[in-house]
Amino acid sequence: MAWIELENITKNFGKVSVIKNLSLQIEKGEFVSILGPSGCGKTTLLRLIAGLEVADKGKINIAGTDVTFSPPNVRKIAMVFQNYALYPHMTVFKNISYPLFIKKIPADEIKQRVNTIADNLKISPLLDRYPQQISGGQQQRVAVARAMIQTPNVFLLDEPLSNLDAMMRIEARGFLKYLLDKIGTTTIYVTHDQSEAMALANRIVVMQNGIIQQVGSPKDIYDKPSNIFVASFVGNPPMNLLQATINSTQVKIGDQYLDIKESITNLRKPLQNGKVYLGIRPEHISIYHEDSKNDGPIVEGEIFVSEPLGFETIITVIVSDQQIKVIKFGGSKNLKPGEKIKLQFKKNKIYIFEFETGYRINEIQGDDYDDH
Amino acid sequence: MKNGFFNSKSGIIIVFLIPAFILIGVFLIFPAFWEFYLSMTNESLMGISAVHPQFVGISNFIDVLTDPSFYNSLVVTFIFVLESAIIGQAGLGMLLSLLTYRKKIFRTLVQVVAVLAWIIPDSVVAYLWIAFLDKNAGTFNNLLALLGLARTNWFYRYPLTTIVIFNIWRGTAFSMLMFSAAFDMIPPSYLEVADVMGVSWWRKFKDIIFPNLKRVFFSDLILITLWTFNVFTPYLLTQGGPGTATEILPIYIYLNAFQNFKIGYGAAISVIVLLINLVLASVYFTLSKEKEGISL
Repeated sequence: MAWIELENITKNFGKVSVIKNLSLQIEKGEFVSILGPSGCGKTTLLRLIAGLEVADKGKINIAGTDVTFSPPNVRKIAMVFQNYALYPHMTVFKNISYPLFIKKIPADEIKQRVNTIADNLKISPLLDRYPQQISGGQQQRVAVARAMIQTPNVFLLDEPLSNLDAMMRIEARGFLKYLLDKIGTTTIYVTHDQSEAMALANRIVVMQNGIIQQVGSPKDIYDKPSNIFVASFVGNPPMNLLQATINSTQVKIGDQYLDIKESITNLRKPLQNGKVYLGIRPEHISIYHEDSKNDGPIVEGEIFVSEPLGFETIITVIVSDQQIKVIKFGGSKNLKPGEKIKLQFKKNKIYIFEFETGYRINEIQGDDYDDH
Repeated sequence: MKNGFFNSKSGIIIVFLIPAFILIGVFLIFPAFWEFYLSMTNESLMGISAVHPQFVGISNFIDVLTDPSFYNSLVVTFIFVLESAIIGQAGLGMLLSLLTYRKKIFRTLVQVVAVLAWIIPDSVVAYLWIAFLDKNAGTFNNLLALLGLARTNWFYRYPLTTIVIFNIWRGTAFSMLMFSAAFDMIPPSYLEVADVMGVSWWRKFKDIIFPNLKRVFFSDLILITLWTFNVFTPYLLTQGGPGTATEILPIYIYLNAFQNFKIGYGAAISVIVLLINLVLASVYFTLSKEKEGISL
């Protein structure tokens, strides 16, 4: 039996269906990230697990106990909210110790446990201050400390980094990963930021409109997106999705024909001639020169804009009225808007999605993105 | 002109404050000093001293402080304030806003009813209550009679209790609105974190809700205490009677100054009431500024 089991969960708010017949299993010690755009139901899902909402249908098991209708406090969970919910009238020490104080644990033990956790989280010097006297990053650590001290069955984190500025966020992300790896408690982490999910989680659950779109390791989600939504949500810049028509050997984008024989060798279902989406990630496109080796189909286009970001440059190219983003590493000389350019798509990195349903139809043997 | 008075920051602030200061000066500060002056004279509405009031020093104050009916009024007033404002309005207001927390429709209903009681003019309200409580034709006694209970002349049998209940009914809306607004300022996650920890409802109130609305709570107490201390509406119901049973200080002042025509004497009581109000307000201010957390 899995550590956390959600079985056919349905939740409606009035007439709005927020979670639709959702099932998910999470093993002990896993770090699972629930990823999706705002309004996809990810926070509601977390609140259902916490017991702050009650499901209309379905069953929730935590650590072998059916908690579907149990109040939050018997579920042995700890939650960190987006706004941290630190009590402004209590010092950092009192905030962290409050869960123990409520359980009437002796003062000596409280003091000792708070000090240990504060040492681990490097917030010992802040214990006498009030939350409004410390930085956002420090507040986030205090909120994590208050959750940790409850020694829960599972941590529930609701966008814990989104209140921080960009610099602080990356630092806090690294620290959070280090910390949660170290204590090894099962963690469910809700975020709308794909880079956070990729960086932190063992497993990512991608949601949209209350439905799980895909569950998999970060690498699976990235390399083998099961549909257009996942493909376009994960990755920065996201995957290029081009409207195209297909027959057995070729796709046609605008008036250009691309030979994609090698990309459509493993099909999940027989290919039908007609409209498809062709997906290709920006880093799998290279600028084609006469002396480049022949590594995949080539399209022609016109540079729309190029954005140098230091190490890499993002080039937007218009190919038959559709925009394609390309990541080029190194300098961006000779890339003037309006110039003609040839692009080569890496042949084993081309994704074909059904036009109507958005599902991917070709298998990707993508195990080499590491050696980029 | 560049560095002139009107261009400097403090200059502009002063200019904008002048109208307010004039109004406060004319209608509040000047009357207070005038009253203080009057309290030292034997000014009256009729007779020689109405034309030629004489300075009498502190003899008015001595008279007030040695008058048993002053102490009666003081006691009645304190009971009235404690029961109707602090326990009644603040307590009921707190209870209602707690009960209606996050219950939108229910809260709106309760607020509409409460605010109605609050916005009707004094004289209309007084008439309504007299009609409601009339021994023979009043709605309330008719209801009691229907239930087989005895008709009661509430204004005679329970005069102070009646005006206490009247004032609770009249003023609870204000406290409820204040507390409801303060509750809505508390992020729901404060209480949800507590739910996850398993904090009892009493602890939630004591440790989380109350500290976050303490300032509003004491501001509310200052206002309703002072308003109730100085309220005159009960006069329209009981004229301070029967006897002196509902003779709260404002009524006592009114009777002395305008029925017994002793303006100077009435002014002396007013000065004493003013001092009591000042003391009460400063006590609340001190309480609201006190920093406290949970005790470990």
